[in-house]
Amino acid sequence: MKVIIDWLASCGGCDVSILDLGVKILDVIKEFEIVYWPVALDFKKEDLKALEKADIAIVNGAVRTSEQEEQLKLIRDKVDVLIAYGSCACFGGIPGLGNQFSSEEILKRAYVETPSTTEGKIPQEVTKMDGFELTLPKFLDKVRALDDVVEVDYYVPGCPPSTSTIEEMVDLMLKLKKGEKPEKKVLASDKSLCYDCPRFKSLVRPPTVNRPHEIVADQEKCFLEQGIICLGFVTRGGCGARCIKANMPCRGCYGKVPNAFDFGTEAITAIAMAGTGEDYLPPMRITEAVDKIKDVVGLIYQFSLPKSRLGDLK
Amino acid sequence: MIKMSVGVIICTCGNTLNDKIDIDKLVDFAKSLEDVSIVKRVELLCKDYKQVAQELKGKIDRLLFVGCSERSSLTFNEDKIAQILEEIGLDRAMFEVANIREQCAWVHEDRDGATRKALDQLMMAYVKLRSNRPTGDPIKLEKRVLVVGGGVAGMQCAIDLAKAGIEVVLVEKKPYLGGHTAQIPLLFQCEGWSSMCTSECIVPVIARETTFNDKIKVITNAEVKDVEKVNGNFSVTIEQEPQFVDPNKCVSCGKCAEVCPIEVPNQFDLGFSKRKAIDKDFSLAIPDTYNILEEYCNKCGECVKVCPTNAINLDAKPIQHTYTFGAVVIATGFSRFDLNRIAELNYAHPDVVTSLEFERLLTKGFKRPSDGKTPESLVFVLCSGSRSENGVPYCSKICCSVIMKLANRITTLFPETEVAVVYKDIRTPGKLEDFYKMVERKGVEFIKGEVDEITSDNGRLKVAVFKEDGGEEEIEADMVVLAEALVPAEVQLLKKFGVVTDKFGFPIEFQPRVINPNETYVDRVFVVGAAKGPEIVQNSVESGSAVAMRIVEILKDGEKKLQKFVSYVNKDLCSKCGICASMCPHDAIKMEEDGAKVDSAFCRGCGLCMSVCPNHAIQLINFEDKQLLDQAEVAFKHAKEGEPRILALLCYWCSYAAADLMGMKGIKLPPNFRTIRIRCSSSVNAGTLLEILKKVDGVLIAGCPPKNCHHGWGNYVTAKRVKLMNEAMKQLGINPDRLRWEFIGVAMWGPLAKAIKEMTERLRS
Repeated sequence: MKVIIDWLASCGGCDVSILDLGVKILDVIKEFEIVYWPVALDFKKEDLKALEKADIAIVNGAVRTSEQEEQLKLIRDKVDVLIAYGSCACFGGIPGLGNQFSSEEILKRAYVETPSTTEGKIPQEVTKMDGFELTLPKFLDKVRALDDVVEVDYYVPGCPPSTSTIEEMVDLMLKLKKGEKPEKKVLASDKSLCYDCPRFKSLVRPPTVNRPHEIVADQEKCFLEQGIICLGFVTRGGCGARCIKANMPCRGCYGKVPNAFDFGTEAITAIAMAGTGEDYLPPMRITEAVDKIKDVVGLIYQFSLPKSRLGDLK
Repeated sequence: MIKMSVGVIICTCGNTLNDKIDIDKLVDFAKSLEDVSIVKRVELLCKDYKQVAQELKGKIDRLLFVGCSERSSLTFNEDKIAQILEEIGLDRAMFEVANIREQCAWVHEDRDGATRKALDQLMMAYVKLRSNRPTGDPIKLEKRVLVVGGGVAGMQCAIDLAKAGIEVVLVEKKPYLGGHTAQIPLLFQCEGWSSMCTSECIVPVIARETTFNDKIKVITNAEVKDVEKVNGNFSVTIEQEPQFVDPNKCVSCGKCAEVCPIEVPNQFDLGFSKRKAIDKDFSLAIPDTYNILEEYCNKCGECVKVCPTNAINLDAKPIQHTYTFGAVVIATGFSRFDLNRIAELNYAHPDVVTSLEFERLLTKGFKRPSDGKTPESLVFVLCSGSRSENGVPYCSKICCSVIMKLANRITTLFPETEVAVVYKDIRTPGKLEDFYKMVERKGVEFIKGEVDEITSDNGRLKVAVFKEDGGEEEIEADMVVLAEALVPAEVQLLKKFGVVTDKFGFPIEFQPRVINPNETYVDRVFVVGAAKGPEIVQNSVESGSAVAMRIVEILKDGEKKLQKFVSYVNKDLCSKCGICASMCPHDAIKMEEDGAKVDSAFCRGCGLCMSVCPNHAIQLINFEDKQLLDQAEVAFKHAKEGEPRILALLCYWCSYAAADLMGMKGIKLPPNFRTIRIRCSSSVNAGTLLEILKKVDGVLIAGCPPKNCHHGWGNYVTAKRVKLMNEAMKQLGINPDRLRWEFIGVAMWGPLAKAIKEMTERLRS
């Protein structure tokens, strides 16, 4: 079976994560022929175009530029099964946070306004120089997840996906090789991370909101009940609670639980529980616990802003 | 799908609504709706509802009432609707109301606009009604009540319940009944003059009545160990200390105490007298039996040898009693603030005593503890620990009166004693003021100020006072009595029952507290007497009686009919995050191996659990997300184009009533808004709010004012939710005016109208 691995708007971590398979990667190589993997070997778009057909594509990264869009469509045409790999491919990921701003604002910020820039210049799609015409792909208005551009068959969430999730993907690929078509579209748990979380819960409302640097988190107790915002309750499990075990709260890279309407707003619903003893506060200070959150969108849509139904309201 | 049969009653309120609404249009529209089998137009349903009910009997399975407000109508509110449903024989959940009077005809002037709105309101109620369902069979309640605490309040409650035929188990920590009352020789009687009665009469009378009643099982030396809520009842394990002396055999002859070699301080007298390891705490104690203090007894067996009735068994073991109860009364009284925590009061000094200690001391004569001499001067210090930075901030309510009573006694019996009172304010409420006036007349010196410190020098105490007028004064005294603050006694016990307390540990009563006194946030858990807050004996007895009456009513049928709104969990969707349980103010949810579980008899249908579940695993029957979205979908089907479409989600109690009062009070608004009577303002999940925002231009969500939420913190959580939503909307370039939160109490019809107007104007531009 022929496999394409490609990256779009991505940090490269997803490609590296495949190596987390360790020795199991040898099985992958035994069973599958990797015909295109630009991160690992020097492939060019022409090589992709030249490919007649492949079976499976594993694509990480979101779609930000015209080139990425073209690349993705090209891949879709070549393969039977497209796997969105990583949070960017599944939900837009960290680059998706760019959707708070227009493309002009982003380019201006990056190439002109940053403190380290002097006499900045915004890159143009076409630049004429010394009689030559230099071209760049178009910087599109919005970041999109893969399924907003083409049809996606399977989703492997995570930033990056954890080793167990990648192993699950290998199992999926082996099944596909046998001609099966597994129904489970998202390679993560249908339960939230809380279902797997080893921490102790007292079943109390969070007394306040503590930013992670403000307190030393108790390693045994539920983060949320300590006032540290952990989004495990709205996030699919399946990651193996990696962050939780490293005493870091969940930020939601596995995406929303299946029945939630929207990641961010559902997150708000429970975050708003924080802050007790309001009866003793003057009315003006009732919301003070949540007022400590400096960047609401950055918190609730860290990995999924392009998929935000709130964003759709605009 | 099973075919349903909807009956629609459209009431014109004596044809007064016709001016504002085209009723014929409403009738025709109702007739055009699927599954509507009867449309009845009536003039005054409130006057002849029984006849109408008879006509509908057997013909319909759900009722849609189009007319006045089910919340605020003075003649036909939801209580009346419940009666009509009963007459027809329908489940209490199978109705909806389209409020076309208070919130339509009365608040709009434009007939066309009001008619359009009325059509939408009818449609909204109709789509919801179609998906309503019965909440289930009644839950069987055990006709047995647990009373924790054998003081006067608990005893009175038990007596009144037993007299009404209800079985009671009364648990008392101490070996005797009577609580603190038994330690107070003279009790206030609230007449028009200073009057007192003695506990040496009162306590045996009430304790005999308690113990002689076959319906009351008194378990002394016992505590509540475990509480589990099972199928709407309380399964409680009570642990009783070993009963070394069998109360059925003991004749209180006292021979055992005579031979007992061990003498220890008697805690009944707060250490001012001695008792034996086997003894009776005080002669009038009931049950009339001796008891052994296990921690002091060396099991020498001398008492066993002399007991004439073989009542003593030194090998007795603790006993566990487990019962199921339908209701619980917490009557655990108060605890005394530990005055050692305020060093400047010098409580460690033997001649500095608390007011209750002074009560006990006086029964042994007016002698100071250090040397047994009768004091020639005495200083009372009010607010010792109360209203204090080092103690508790609240007023302990009864201490001023208690000190006046004691000062009065000293000045009467020992007129030569110099008595001074250091006070911040004198608070002798109601008729107790007479005690204060009497003490004033007797020439007691009153010094307004705060104690700086109490020191001792050669057997004399010196009380240094910062006076309110700025000066300082030092008073010498042979003895000082501190009016100690009163604090909650059994915070852990309240926790076991899931009762919400204030920050001091006193239980918070169920809102509106004004008409739900003594009721906690947990269904059928009541608090009486000083367990609720400092209280005098007479009022404590009164609350015991009052609660008994409430419980008799609740348990009379031996079952609880479930209300229209009850939460349930779809365990397939539940991830056991427990957020629902931590949000529930009524302790109705517990976490089980396979997910959250709602005990529906404890559920008050507020919807707080449902709103915090990110996976929508927990839903409120008859107020499901989908029902709300269905209503929003049709809310503006008949509205004119061009005006902002505002949907107001108003909380069941305060805010919806305020919207009714807008109409009643004559406020006029444009007909561009629709209302939905939601459960608590916090019953709507933020994801659902967002989905509603996709269907309308603006959402106004309103709930009870601060400190008044019927579900503890629902209004606060919603205020925060909307704040966060607004922040996110701003960041994403969405007009935050589209979602607005307001604290709206019943009497805030004006601010509600203002909010709707403002929203309309802002969304217009």
